[in-house]
Amino acid sequence: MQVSDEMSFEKNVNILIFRNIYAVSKPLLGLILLNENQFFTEIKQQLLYGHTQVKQAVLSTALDKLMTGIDRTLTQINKEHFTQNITQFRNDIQDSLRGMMINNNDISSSISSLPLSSSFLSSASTIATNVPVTIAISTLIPSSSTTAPVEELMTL
Amino acid sequence: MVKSNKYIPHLFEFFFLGNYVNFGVFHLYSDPCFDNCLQVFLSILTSVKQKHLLIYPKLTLSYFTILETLSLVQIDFLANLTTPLFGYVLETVSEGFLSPEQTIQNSCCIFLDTFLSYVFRLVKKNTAPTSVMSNVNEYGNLFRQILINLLNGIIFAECKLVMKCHLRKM
Repeated sequence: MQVSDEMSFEKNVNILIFRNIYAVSKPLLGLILLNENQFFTEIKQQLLYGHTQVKQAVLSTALDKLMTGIDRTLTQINKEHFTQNITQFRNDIQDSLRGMMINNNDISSSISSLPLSSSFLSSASTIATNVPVTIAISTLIPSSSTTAPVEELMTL
Repeated sequence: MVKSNKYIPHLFEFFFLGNYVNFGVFHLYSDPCFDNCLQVFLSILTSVKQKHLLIYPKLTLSYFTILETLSLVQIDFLANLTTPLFGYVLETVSEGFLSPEQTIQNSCCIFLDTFLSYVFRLVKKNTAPTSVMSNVNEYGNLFRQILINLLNGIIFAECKLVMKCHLRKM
């Protein structure tokens, strides 16, 4: 059960990004409009939490750009626009991260981050098996401990 | 119980999505068949524990199939569920997004998409019934949690992807 939990989380993240972005973007627009008042304040804070400062800046600008040219309706055309924005959002993050990596001369630090996935798995295994992954993640993210797996993985 | 529940969703799927009958006719002639059918869904929902629903893979798959079918055919029925039942459904959807199964994620997406489109349409026309609005207000936090999970998933996966490419180059 433990192993399958970890596997499912790993797989889930991959699937979300590689095949499913079109499907995910549709409910995402509705959810953002539903939470519009808090989206640019609280939710953004929550999303940025645990990232390094440089990455926070990148993510922040990318998140701001997410809603450009989108009006407050859920029409089909609007959803299509939003899907394009989401794709752009992904590309922005990827590009800037890649740029950061190339500029980063301290290669040894990135080598030392090689076993990251394994350390992530081992820390994930401390999660009780019957706790749903959602709760497990949401409790991990706000914790200020340096070993928070998400934070560790994000700090490139 | 669990075994037989596996087949009902498929029955539902073929029956509803086959477009064999115009379902409005049932209501017009006050034939309760259609409503009874929807009540079957509710009784399945209330007879199975949420834990069991998410543990047995085949049952999970059929549950999400039924949810997807109903949201495509009869979203107002799902939106007008009583508050605890709607919360139950929404919690399973929130869990479903974290499932590794592609089909389940898609079903969750379709449910949320049609539901939110329905709510926004009603609000725009100013005809939203109070039951729907109270459902939305009651579970605002859950909606927010789903939003955060989805966005985090996207951001997280981007970071991982870049890191993988980088390591491969080295």
